[in-house]
Amino acid sequence: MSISEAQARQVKPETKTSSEGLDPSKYAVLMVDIVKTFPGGVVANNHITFDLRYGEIHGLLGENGAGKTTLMNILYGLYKPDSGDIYIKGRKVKLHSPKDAIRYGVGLVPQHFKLVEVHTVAENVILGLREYGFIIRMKEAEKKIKELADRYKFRINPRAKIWQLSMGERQYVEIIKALLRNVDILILDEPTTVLTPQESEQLFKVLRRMKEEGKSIIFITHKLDEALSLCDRITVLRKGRKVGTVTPDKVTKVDLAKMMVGREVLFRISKTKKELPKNKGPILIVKNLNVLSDKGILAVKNISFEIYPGEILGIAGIAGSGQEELAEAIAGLRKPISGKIIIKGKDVTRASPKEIFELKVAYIPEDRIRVGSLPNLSLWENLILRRHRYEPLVKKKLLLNFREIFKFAQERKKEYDIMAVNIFVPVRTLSGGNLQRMILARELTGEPDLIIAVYPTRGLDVGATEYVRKVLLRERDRGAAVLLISEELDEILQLSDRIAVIHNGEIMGIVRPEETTIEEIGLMMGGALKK
Amino acid sequence: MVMALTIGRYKIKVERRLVIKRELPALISIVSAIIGVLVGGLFFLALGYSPIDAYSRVGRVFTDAKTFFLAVRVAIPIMFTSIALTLPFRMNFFNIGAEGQLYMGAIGAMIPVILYWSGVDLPQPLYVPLMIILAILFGGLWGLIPAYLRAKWRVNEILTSLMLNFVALQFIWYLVSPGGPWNEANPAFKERYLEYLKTQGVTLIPGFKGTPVIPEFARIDSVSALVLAVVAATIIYFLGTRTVLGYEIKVVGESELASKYAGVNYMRMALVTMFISGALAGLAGFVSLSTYLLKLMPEISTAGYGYTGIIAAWLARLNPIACLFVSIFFGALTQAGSIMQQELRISHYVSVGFEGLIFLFLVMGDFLLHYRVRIIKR
Repeated sequence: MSISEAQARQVKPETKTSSEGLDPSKYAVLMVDIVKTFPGGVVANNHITFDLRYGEIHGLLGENGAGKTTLMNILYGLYKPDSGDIYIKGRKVKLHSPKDAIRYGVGLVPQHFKLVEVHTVAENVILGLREYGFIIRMKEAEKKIKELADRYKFRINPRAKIWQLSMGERQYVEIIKALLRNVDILILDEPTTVLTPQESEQLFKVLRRMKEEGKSIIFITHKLDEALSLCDRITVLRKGRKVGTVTPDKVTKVDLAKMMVGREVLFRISKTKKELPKNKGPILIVKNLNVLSDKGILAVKNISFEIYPGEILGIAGIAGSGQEELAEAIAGLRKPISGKIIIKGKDVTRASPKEIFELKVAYIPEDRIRVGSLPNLSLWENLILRRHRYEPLVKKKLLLNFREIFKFAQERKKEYDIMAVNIFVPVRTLSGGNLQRMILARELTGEPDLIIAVYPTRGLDVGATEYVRKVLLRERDRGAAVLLISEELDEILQLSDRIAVIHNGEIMGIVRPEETTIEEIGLMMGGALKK
Repeated sequence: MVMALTIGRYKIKVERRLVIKRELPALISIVSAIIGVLVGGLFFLALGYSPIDAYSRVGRVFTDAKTFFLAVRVAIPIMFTSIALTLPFRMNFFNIGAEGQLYMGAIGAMIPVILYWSGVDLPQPLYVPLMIILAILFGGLWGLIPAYLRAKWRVNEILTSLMLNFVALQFIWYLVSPGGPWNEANPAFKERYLEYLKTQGVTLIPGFKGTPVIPEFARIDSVSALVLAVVAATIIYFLGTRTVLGYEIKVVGESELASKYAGVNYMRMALVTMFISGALAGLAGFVSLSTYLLKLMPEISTAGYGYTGIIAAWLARLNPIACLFVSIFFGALTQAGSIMQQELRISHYVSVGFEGLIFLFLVMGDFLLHYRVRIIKR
């Protein structure tokens, strides 16, 4: 369906802004006219009415900062609303803390897991549970965990330590924590952000089983496809207000995006197809590369490829298949055990990050917060990182040249439209999208010849994702070579000129997007096909 | 963290401050100190002393020039140790070893003096500069040990730097105990040192643990030492805020991962920073030796300058200029304690307890820097 059709078909959400006509006893949760204002005057929730029926999965959709998490934190007793009423299973309640919420049967799986990494699954699960006594009856706890895992059909070893688990498994630990507290209303805050597509599918199956058992689930997300495929109803929030509640069969992705963003969103970014300049040699050559992971396992196995100027090479694969290690090796952050990396004809296999940066290589790291930025330092201090040793930001190789630095920072801020009061605010106050803009502004200064982008749109909302993709295409058209690592197949297919599919550290084949299908790539990602 | 407590019609709320105003740290420190003084008053009252009487005498630290001078003299070594700690603390390198670096600096500074009493002559104006250079070298090199171990093998720097304090102290004990190579009774010093003592009209004390005294031409006065401290603070301030090194220190302190990504060499940073830090702590050893102690003894840092420096640096929010003032405050507190002891016959333990109480309030005040308390009428 085209955008114009969607426009023509007006979406009529069933909205009710007052409690009249809503009978609290019919709903698992009914939140009426909730208002929450934060110090500084930000209205996070502006007269929101939200209802959750018994035994449904209700999607809560909105961009970052739309007020989804605030609303759910109110339901979980973490925040108190300025005004408005909350009914849980027909009873009007006042929630003073999560303890109250749990008592009424409301559980929350937070976006950032709150688990003790060095403890086992069972130890984490019983933390704070009185009934396991002062001398812990661990066997009993382990048995209960096994029972729950069997019931919902997921695998978990109660004696495994948290740090040994994948993100998907950690999510189950959080869910078990909630279930063991006899919760029948479960809130999941952006649960798929850290999951692979396969792990997400698994999770959806578990959630559907829980629904069949009569549990009511609130699923916070900003991913449209997920909301449409999983949820029974979807409530869309935008800038603290409720836009409406819809059912998936009545709306399209385009409708939802419009409700969420408030304007048209382009899902297909126009990409001009162009022939590679034949006369130029490759910018990056990777030859028979072998790299170890942190755990000492061979993560990159004998990988070879090259990238030419003006092309995007996408690496498709399940997160954790060796892409991160590959990117780190090229950026100089991880030393390969064998093989060669050649950038612009220079052997940089053992070069330091500094030497590689000096070859005009930009690196957009996977971890924006801990690697890509310095949260407590100001915007200008973040923007000059990696460039802080060179003229004109430095004079006499030693002294910071503040006039040039501030000018540089102001220009970057303006060019990349970074939303911050000024260049002196700490970047921890920036939203995820703005943080990524900051990193792009820093990395793409000085027209880099090679750009390594690792999961550049992970966790970003629709608007920010669109921006990042456009910028990458702009850089490609300028003549940069781009290595794009992403777990979103859509993104890889849209942006890449060639796609290398990685499975378990090996490249299964390099294909052109116009000559392949999602199914073929999927088979290669799963290791079932080699080309 | 958000906490709320409801009492009757009032609601007390604790919230994290989103912005910290520039003048807030100083304001909170001053108010905390005042509250500490008030609570300390109750403490005196309970022990049967008049707080007004006690404080009026304490006030003399700031009004009487001579007493104030004594306070500043005590403060000078703390100035050096606290300034020394600002840089490593900023890069999250927890140097607890300023005490040991101070000892080693003092040992280094003592070398020319020992040579002099053994009969080796140098031109007299060379002594002080030479002592300063050796104090810097010895303190700095001692500081490199935990830095290297941390950067190379990730050995916990808190433990190594702390343990090295005891090693350095035992080294002094070895040098100066009776029979030790630097003990004043060592026959090597016999000719020149005994001659000198005779002109002063004193004799050796049997069993004394200490070196021969520093000769007049190798001493410096407190004013010069203070000038040296101010110069050091200015240099470190400049280094921390205006140079690439200072910037990189902050980057490492904020995130080691990000610093690696930015191409900062951790080994180099740790070594440079800890050499500077150790050197400044070594200077603390030099000034306390050559301004008033005059002999190297195991008691060179009875007040624990290296440890006090940690609190001082922290209260100064790692600002080297602020370290100067915080150190003077610490010196004044010590001086106030000794006035109370002498004139009011208050026990030594009570006065030290009073000092601890003031510290406690200052440290507690830090909470209010990051959180604010609001009282809302419902």
